[in-house]
Amino acid sequence: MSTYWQAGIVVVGLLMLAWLLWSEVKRPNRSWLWPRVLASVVAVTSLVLLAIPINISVAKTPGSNRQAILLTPGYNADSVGVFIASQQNNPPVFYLAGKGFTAGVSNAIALDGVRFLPLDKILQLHIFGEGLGDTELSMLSDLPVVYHPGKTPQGVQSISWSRQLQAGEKLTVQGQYQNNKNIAVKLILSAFNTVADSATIAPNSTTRFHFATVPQQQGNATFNLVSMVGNDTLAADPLPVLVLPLKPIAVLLLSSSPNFDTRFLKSQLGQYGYPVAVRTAISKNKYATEFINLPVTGLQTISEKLLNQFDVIVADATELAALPEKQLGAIKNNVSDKGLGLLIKTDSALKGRLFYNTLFSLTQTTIAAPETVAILADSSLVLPPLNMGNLLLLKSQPGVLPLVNNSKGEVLAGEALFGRGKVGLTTLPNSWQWLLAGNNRAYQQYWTWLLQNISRPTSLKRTIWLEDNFAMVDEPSTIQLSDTINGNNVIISGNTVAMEQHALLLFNYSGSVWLQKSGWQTIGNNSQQIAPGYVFAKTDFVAARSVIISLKTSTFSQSSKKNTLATTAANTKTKPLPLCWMIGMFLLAATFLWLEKKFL
Amino acid sequence: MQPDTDDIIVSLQKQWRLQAIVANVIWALAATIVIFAVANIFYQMRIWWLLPLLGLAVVAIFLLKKNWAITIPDVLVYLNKSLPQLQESAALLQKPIAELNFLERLQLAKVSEAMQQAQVPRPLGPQLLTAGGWLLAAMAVSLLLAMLPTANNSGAISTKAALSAIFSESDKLPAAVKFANILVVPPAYTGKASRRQSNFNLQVLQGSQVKWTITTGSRAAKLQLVFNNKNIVRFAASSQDSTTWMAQARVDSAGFYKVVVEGRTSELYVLEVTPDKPPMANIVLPKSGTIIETGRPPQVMLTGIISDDYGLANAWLSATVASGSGEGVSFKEQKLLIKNYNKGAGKVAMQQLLQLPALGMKPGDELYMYAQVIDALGQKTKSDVVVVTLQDTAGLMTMDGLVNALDLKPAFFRSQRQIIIETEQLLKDKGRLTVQEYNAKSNDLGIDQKLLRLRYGKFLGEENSIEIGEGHNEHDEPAGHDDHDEGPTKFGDANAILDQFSHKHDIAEDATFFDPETKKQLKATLAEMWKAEGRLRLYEPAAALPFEYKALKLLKDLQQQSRMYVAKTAIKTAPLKPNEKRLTGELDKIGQPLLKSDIKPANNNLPLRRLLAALATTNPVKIDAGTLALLQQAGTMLSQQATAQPALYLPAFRAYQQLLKGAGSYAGIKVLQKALQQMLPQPALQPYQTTMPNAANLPGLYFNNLQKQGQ
Repeated sequence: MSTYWQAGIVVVGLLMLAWLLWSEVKRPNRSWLWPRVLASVVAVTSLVLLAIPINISVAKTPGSNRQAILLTPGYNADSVGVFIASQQNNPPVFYLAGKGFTAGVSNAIALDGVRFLPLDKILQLHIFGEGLGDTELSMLSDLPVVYHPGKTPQGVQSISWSRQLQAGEKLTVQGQYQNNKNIAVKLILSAFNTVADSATIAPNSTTRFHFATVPQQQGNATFNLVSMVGNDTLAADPLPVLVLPLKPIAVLLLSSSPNFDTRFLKSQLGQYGYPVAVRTAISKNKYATEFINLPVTGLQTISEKLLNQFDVIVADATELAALPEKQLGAIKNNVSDKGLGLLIKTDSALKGRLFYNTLFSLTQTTIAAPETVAILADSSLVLPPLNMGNLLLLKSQPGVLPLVNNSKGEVLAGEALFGRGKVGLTTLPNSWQWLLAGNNRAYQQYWTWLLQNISRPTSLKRTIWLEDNFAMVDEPSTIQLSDTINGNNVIISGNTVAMEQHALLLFNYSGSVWLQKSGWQTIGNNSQQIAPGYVFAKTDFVAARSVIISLKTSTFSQSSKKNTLATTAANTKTKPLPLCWMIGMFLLAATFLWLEKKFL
Repeated sequence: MQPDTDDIIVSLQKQWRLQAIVANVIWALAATIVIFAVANIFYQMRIWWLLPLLGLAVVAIFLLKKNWAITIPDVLVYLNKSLPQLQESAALLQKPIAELNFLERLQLAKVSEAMQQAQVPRPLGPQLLTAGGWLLAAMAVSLLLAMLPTANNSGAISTKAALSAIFSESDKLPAAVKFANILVVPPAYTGKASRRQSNFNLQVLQGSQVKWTITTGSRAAKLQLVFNNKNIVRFAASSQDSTTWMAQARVDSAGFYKVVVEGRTSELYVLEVTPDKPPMANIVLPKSGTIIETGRPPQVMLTGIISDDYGLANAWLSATVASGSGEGVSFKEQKLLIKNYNKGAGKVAMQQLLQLPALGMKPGDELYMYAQVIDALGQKTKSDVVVVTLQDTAGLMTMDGLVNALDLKPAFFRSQRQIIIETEQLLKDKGRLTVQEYNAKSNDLGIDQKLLRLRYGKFLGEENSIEIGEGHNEHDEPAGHDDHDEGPTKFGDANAILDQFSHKHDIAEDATFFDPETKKQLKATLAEMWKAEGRLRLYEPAAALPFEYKALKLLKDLQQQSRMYVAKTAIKTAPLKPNEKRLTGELDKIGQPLLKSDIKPANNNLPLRRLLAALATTNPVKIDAGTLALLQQAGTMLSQQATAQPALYLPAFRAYQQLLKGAGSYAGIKVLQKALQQMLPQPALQPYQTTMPNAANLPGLYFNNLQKQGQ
């Protein structure tokens, strides 16, 4: 747009110049012709340049070609001293006041923030210590930075844990702890003032730790990661965990004959209030039906409408194969178009040309191992041994995701995508034996893993979350909102945040907020709470955050190295030409033309 | 000269006194350190207790050891004793010169010279050294004591630690109560002394009588104790002015209680009960199922242990003898005394020899025996029952194995039995018979035995009267052949029958179809019979008897072996035609069962779990309505747990009540959270509906487009 406008001005200027020159040349009195032509050109040019400012490049002020030092917490005074000694002219040393430390270097200048650095006088900035955060780094713009990291601080270096769980799920905490002391540190996962798990970190070492416990609470609460030397507590960092109530899934069990597997699964799900319907064939076209926590409906024919009520079907391969073509078609359509889950149990090779047969292929085991251990493929969970006898195995092939293995790594259960839904297949016929042996937890783990993976997922209407894993108090935090209905303002702990819509994904919104109180925050939309978020205090996970900051600073310094070369080669900077020059030239030229006409 | 020596004396006195004082202080220090270290084990004393202890020790030692009260005369006496060159004249050094006579002056001159040259002794040096040594030893000992493992080193929650924390709590008297005296009288049988305490938290033996005597500050109208928020015990005023009250209760179960003074309730107090454990009885020997074989002495050594925590009131052995068999079994129960047991003994190691015939046991009888113990509370315990069997040889003679429907041909087995019976009869009749008759009968029996042997010999293909298991001679018919009509075949043994009616001209061994094992046993039987026959023919029936028995035993075993055989039967059925008949039945009468049930979700303690989370952000004095509702729902379970395990959960229950009243504290919330975390069972794992992030059906559109492209 602006370029058109500028071109217009240039065109107008040229026309004006042409007319002026034409009239000057045509004038009968030809005295002072060339000075007049020159004055006209100058006048028109300066007029045009008044409208279109131009930049000129100027050399930088001499004496600004200097190195500067910025100290941040955790810097090593010795390495700063060595660096200063290696420079010819004493570089100025700055440090940020208000970060809770004092500079141990003489002549250090305290700054209230990075924005007070005299950036135009600095050619290269040397940052010592833990470094600067995102916001502060962005203030340095393209200044070349050399980073000198300090000593890694004592404490948790990195940590990750499942922040959101469903009731009954295990909380896993893993991370790395650096112990700089000459004495062992005891690391404790504390749940409501009880020891849930603990580990010992050897002196002067960096050790990985792995804790696991099943949270007892329902809702949001904080666990604590406590590090202790003897009876002295070094740190107690909060681990916010949100335990969500279970959303039951509706299960349809189709069975070709009464069997233990169906019976136990039915009662196991039913006793927790899950909606379960069971159809067991007792003779040709005769079925025993049972409805638990569901209204009675006809199960004689499997229709699309019936299937919409359920999230997953668990069926015998025999029973599926015996279904009329139309009913099997209904299942196929619901799986592929509406995401229904289908779990097939089989004890013999799949026969017939049915839609799910092409997804899996099976082999019979040659060794009938009496005891084998089943492993949940994803979470590497080992379940107690089960007597399997002769068993079918899933061949691993593209498109099949293994879900359950035996101890030899052979696949006992897997799933494959089919349209929008999933089809699973298991060959383990006797999981109920875990229940009989008293291993209720193993049985629950097995079926939870299978059903959850395969069943139809629900789409959330609205989700809100804090983008940053370590959202800090008194620092900007980003709130993400995904909402198909409306992207109204979000209220977080009483602060209303205006949300900005994503340019392409119209259901995504984001907003920024500075939170002033640490701890749990209620995040809501239109005064209705949706999800709680947690904001950490400045004293939480100091070492881990310092490691993150250090990494960010290091990355920033890597990327700013390119700038170093560019700017040192051309030691100049651009600057717009002052407008007064134009006005002066125009006035001079115009005055000359007027005087010449009047007096000469 | 004199003033010099005088100075020496005074300085010696000062020096020695100082040394004595230093030695005493070191002694005191050593004693203090040891006392402190020992006391620290039991009472966990603070370090500044050292100062008053040290003061006490110093005073005590200075009073006990007077070595610091050294006077000038003491010094002089000591010098005289230890330095002979002073010639007992040290006293002169101290006297003013003016008072001395000439001789004394002369002596003084001599003595003072000697004094200055003499090596001054150090009488207190050894004392200082010993004191120092003891101090070092004391420090070493206390260091060792400090390094002893203490009880609560482990991080685990121990009931013991929790209890000691509660019972060592500083005495919190209920409001309005000025003075309390609680008398705890344990049950008499425990032999424990009664005790008095003013702390309301009680730890008593089960069945103790507890008597509370309370003095209130002012007149009170009504006082009562409330146990577990249910049972009420009223106080009775025991003084005229209604300030002293008494109440009494028998404590049988653990729980908690509170004191209510005119409607004002105190905090909750722990009532921890140590139960009387039931007595123990354990018989180590004899092992159950012991069989005493014939020939062994009919006796068993009984060893075992019986015990009880407060002494056994009664203990005995119960021995039941079962004799007879079948329907004629009779039982006889007897009580036996335990030899080492005295009434009231806490632990008795049983060790006594039981003579089985004295219990009335005969061969074949069984003894069922157990120890029964009763403690003073009347709790009974029985040990496991041990069974001792006296083996019976007579069992061999019975017809038990033969007299049943399956065994149709017992005749030839009777023969061996008959021979035994007749041999025994012959031995009995020996006195009444003449030698000729006796010998003739014995010989006859020998002939019978031979006949029997030959009969069995046929099964092995023997047709010879003298060989055992050797090849046969077909024309030498043994005498026994005449008895064929008796049908000497074993039941179901078709081969034996075949052999009987056919002459086979091949190897005798292979002529029968017995397996090698059976043949071996049969041969052994024949060998025994052969030996028996030999003895009988030598007129020694007594010597023959063991061989006869052995032969019978082997025969019986053979009989048992052949029992395994079951003859086959062949049945012919009409052939099936599955393709014609299968799945053609009429099904219209078959109903289709339909079941409908609505199950209330299993109790997952949801209110308690939600309370646990809600407490994390609760202000103890300003509880919001939601949390309050959860708190109220949690009451039942908390009170149940506090009653069952007051030591662990009563503090939490107290904190809970404070919270409900609106007088809670953050510390109380922590205690409550900890208790909830501990008492809740692990939640069950159930499948749940997974969620997809909301994306305005973006995946759906993508999927549909993919489908279109695919077509």
